[in-house]
Amino acid sequence: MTEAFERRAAEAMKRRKVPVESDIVIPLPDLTAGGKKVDSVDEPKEAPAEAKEDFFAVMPNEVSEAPEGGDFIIDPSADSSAPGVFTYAGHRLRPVNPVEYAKITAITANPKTRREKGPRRLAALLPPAGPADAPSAAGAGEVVQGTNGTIDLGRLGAQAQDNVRNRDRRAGQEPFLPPRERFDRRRFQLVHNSDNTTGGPNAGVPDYYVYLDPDGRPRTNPDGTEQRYTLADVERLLNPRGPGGRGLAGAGPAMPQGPQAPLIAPQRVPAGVIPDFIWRNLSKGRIERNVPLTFEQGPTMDVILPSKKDQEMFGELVRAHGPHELFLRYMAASEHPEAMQASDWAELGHLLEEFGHRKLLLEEVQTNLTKEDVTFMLVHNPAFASIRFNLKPERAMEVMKTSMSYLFMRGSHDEINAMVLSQRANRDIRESDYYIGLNERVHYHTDKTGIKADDLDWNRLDPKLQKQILKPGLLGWMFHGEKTKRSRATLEHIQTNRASMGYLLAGTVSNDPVLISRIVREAQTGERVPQVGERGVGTAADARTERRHINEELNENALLEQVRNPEFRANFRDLDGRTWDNSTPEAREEAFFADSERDLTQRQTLLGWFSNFLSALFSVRLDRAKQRLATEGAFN
Amino acid sequence: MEHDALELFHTQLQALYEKGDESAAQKLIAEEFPKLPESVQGDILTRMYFKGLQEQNRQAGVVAEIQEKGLEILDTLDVMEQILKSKKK
Repeated sequence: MTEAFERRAAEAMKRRKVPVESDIVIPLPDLTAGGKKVDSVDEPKEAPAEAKEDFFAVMPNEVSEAPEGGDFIIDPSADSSAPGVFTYAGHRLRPVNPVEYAKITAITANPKTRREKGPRRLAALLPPAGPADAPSAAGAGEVVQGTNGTIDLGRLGAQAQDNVRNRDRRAGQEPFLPPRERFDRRRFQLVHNSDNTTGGPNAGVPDYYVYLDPDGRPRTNPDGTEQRYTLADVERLLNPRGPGGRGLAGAGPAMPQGPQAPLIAPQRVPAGVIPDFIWRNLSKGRIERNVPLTFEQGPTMDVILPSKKDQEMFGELVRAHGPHELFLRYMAASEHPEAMQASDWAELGHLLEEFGHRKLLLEEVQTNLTKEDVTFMLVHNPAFASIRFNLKPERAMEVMKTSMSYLFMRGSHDEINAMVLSQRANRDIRESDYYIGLNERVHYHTDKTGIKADDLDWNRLDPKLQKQILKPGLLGWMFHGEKTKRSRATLEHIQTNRASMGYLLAGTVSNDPVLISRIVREAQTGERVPQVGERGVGTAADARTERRHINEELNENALLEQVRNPEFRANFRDLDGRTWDNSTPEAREEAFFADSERDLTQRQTLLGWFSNFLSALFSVRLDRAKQRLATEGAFN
Repeated sequence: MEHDALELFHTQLQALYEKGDESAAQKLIAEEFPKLPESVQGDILTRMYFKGLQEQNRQAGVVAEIQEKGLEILDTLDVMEQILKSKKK
């Protein structure tokens, strides 16, 4: 019995590369061979060298085809500070170069699953958020038909290449690249050949479009001749993904058909910018992934107008992303058809398509927002510790769903991506066999040591127990394989280490997000105790300056005054270096709020509930300031 | 009106943040949050919700790594304990 056990133990030790030395004292395993040692809690600790590849990017030569259904995802909220590095649900994928990136066929969950079942596809593969109309620079036109979708590899390659270029540019290795041009549909001007109707000398020459540069003159070729575009050219430039568009039939004014039909057809929203599929809930908690976006009704004006809610939401979309007066022109067109020009119909078609798209994604997110989620947030986020008794989850959920309706309409594609994909990724994690199995194993072990993980709550924990969970040096020992006194184990040490490990593991499966975030933070940064006010405003004078800075930055009246100031406009340059008069309203707004957006990004890197709440508050104020300035037409 | 209420709330909370006074901040939120316009309340809750989701997703990988290593260590400790006990006999 003993002999058999010893043999098994020796084999186990061998597998773990643990040499068995003396009778009494056994060195603990070096858990990360080659990892640096951290011998003292007082010494600065290092973050774990590299996040491991829990999800693997699978190349075509490795696996020809994923055997299971579903698609896969690259999180477009990937680390913007490290272009070229992509993540799935927070897991860093191995760095890939643009060519590799364009060829990724699947991403799988973990080595064991991968060995046993092959790569499991997880969600639709999307490029990281980037310019909607980015031309394909790598593998242009190369398209792969996935199990449940089509992947434009050229777009992926182009985006990845841009990421790498931008990284090089920051590193000073490549000159600044001119930004890729976004064509503005309003600048395409139809040149009508009246000789076709009057039988003049140029009869037979078809109508064409020119593109007006900011100075109002048609763009020319290098030889000075006018650049001319056919309708198909215009469609292609505005929508590289090909024409689409839906009918605009409705009870209101109808888009003229026949000879009077506008020559610019309604444009399809460029796909691949926000998800072009939804997840549909089925019975018994099952879910159908990657359901193509189809509109049971509309989106047409006759579907929108009877519904007050839809009207408001569409109005929000138009205010944020379209010409503000489009709605008014549309209403006026009932009696005066000339109120809507061809370009207005095209714009309306584009906005309706966008509306339908956003609404379906909104419905998915709203459906998946459960009372349990909201309760969890209210109960476990210290920001709401004092109000959770006055704010019922049902009420909070109602308020949130209303808020989402408008956020989804006025938000940028990046913001919508972040909302939809974070919820999908979270669901993926919750339902992942790997995570479920791991949690069950942890529960089993902690239960065995008599620790009740569910009872652990950082804010109610005895300070001694807090120290026990985040025992100084414990995580360093785990990740760096310290060879200190502690690593020479006796029976006594084994008992102590087992208890410490039990508490730490119990902390990771507790219901307290604050405790989990503290453990994660310590594992990542080695910082002992997260401090409130990490941004580190030192003195009272600094604090006053900071407050003044924020209030100046977000004071809507002051911002409005500033935008309207002739001197400000005279000195203004947008992000492409154009003057106010030569810029577009969108580019003016983008440049005007660039500093605030940067500030918001910095704030979002802060940790802790306090700063999270402040960050949310800051973004709400920034959002309101943008709305106010847009409503006032400040950038027109 | 909404702008003024938001600005005041933000300013007060920022001041407490800079002082590091968590409990006062919780008290302020308890008093002032319900007075904010409903649309602002909704926006804050929604942003907190999605931020929380993103944070959970980000943490999932780190937590799994801690758990994997922790379980491995517990297994090793079990084995070592058995060996030590058997050597003592």
